Amino acid sequence: MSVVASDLVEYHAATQSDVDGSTVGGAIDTLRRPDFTQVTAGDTVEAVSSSAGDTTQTLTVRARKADGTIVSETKTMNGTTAIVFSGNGAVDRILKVELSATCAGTVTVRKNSAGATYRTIPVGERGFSAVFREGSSSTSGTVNYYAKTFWKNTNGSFALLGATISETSDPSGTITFGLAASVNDSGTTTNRQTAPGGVTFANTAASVPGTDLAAGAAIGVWRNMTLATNNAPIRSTHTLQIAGSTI
Amino acid sequence: MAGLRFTVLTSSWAADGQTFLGGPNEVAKPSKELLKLAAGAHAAGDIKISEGFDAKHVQTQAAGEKALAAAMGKRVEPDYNPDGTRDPGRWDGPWYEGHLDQFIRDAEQRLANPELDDGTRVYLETGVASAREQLKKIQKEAK
Repeated sequence: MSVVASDLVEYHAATQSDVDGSTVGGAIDTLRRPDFTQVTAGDTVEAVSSSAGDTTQTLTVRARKADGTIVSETKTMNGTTAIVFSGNGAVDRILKVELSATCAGTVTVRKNSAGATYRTIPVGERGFSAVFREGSSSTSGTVNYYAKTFWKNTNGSFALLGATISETSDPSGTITFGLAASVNDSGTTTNRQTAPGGVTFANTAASVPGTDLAAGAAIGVWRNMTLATNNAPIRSTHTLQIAGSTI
Repeated sequence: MAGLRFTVLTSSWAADGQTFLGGPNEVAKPSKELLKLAAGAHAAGDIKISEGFDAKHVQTQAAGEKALAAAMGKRVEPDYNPDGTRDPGRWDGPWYEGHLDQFIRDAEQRLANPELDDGTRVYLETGVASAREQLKKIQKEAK
């Protein structure tokens, strides 16, 4: 088997958005990945590198606390010694983690102290964040949010044949998805509450345009989250999968 | 040293032993450490600096993509085995080990879903087994 599951990687698009009023989407951002890991409520976060030389980069952790407020803290990496985000204190959800520059080691973001790992940032990447974050429902009708990610075939030599994207988990039942019209696109939408043009949203499997996903190519995937009037807070996940065949 | 003026875009931002509340903030004599941390937070989108932004502390997207390409290294594809099969290829740079580690975590998270269909379960379990094999080889080579 030439293309294996670990060759198929989901990344963010160039412009995510935490706020209304900003363009969303764009081309693939291979430095940042979407994350769906839930922390155990009440955790304090720490981070550590596998390289002692990582002492100049900063790491910013943005999180939501149990009372709903959003906090942020920035600390300088300290090599293989963990840095603790005690300024944020106990958090309910990690929204975004961002390095100021790439590190020489793998950065592990985990529960303090030396607890369960939430996520690692591979060498060369810059961070991760939740797909839908800091949105809210309305008292007067449904609200739609849109976000874009990409599935990339990072295999440098072989195509994923007959590639399809399907949904494997949607516990909140609020999300549908649709594919960009072509691979390697840079399409955007005006803001996170405006549907991207030309995208059909559903929960059923969709075929990648052009049938195969070539080595190094990426297909944009739009997600639509629909919040009902006065929707309860959502702390959940949504997973998609790309599959196909390979020589 | 010039001052630091910024707007905190969250409820609060903590840095250099201080906590700044949401909204406009000003530090007349910021430490070098605070300036660096502020630059990182500005790039992360958590504060907006209007005076005192030091860009040298933040890597541009273009420079980051170049660094990532270097970290991935070269793609190595093995030859066919005598039985006609071929082992998976790999990237030979330091990115690959962290990538495989995270792939395994993501896959195990998905596998924990009891409602996962059988086909996806087999696909992920095969993927995890392959990734673990590759990780073992990488870690052995590193010793």
